[in-house]
Amino acid sequence: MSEKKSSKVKKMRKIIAALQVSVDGFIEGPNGELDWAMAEDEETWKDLFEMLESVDTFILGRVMYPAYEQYWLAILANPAGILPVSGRIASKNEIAYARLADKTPHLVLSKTLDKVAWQTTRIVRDAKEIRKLKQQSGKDMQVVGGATLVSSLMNLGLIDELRLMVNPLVLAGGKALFKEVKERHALKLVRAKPLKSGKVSLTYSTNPE
Amino acid sequence: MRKLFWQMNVTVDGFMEGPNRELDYTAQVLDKDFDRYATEMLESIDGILLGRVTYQLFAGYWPSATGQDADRMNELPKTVFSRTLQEVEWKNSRVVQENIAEEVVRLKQKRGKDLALFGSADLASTFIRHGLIDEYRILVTPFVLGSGMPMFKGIKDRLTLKLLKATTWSSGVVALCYQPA
Repeated sequence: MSEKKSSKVKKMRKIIAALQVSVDGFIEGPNGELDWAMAEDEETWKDLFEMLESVDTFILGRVMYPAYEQYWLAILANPAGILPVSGRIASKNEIAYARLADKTPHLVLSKTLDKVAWQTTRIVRDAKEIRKLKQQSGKDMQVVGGATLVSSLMNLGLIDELRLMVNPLVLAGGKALFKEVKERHALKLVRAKPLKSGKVSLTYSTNPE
Repeated sequence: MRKLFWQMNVTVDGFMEGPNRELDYTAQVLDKDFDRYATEMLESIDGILLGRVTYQLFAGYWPSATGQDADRMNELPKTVFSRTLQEVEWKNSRVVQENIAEEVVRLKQKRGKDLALFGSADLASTFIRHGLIDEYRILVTPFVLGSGMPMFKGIKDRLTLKLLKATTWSSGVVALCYQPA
């Protein structure tokens, strides 16, 4: 395919936005509900962990970051404890994710956030810096969320790949993943993989030939 | 009772039309895989249900179209649900103005092949509220629009689905098929 154009051109690392969505494109229900996305599913974790093998940086937005940090730090501090939000004990996959995340550099894109608790996280003030990092060598970078960040990066042409885990439900309102996308993007389907749980993992490239 | 399925083209972000009612991206759907699907699908039904807007769009296109699928579209009995439409000229069409749910139940109870609802987002939300849809066929075209007309525009409550099938077409469309859980 296009990879063999020139051996001198080094393949640039990709920025991949990977999120769970409902059939109607929401990442949270009308009252912030996330129960559906947090339900333990072995195949979802397998799909994620496989992708993360080619990822060395996580990127998050300001809105999502505080709860994310709180959740995973709580697991690291006490893997057997009751968790915030879900009110249950961490699964083995969650513990594995927390440990992986603890070793993976995180970037939070925010103009206002002034401190973070996780030693692995660095605050980035401007998306230009993400563009610069993308041009450096390294593995791919994963955008964890949320919707505002994904939309801004889409608008800036900084997302190379979308990996949407489409859950078998209609939320009928809530936070739309692409709500702040300003113009039409033509995508190229890379893969569609149905899971036993009824989820469908859709991978799109944002740079169709 | 026979099955009523709702088939619609949507973007990855769940819109049936762009912010200015654009539909041009749905041309993406039209490849050999779609043709094969459409021909089989049209053989599996013996009635079409439509809302006014989709009816008018179809009535302006199909009567002058040619080919096997066009012949079938023109032959199949069509029921249009509208309070305002006075007359229908497209072959084998009729208007139902009230008691929508009762009429759909009556149609479903008749013996025959499946029934199809195409597009018609407003009507679909009424059908969903009455529990009349037995299958969702969501043809996801590879576009993100950011805004437009959502496919589930009139639904207030969460709807849990069961995945029946996910098929990939050469155009990059993913045909997602669900039934109510």
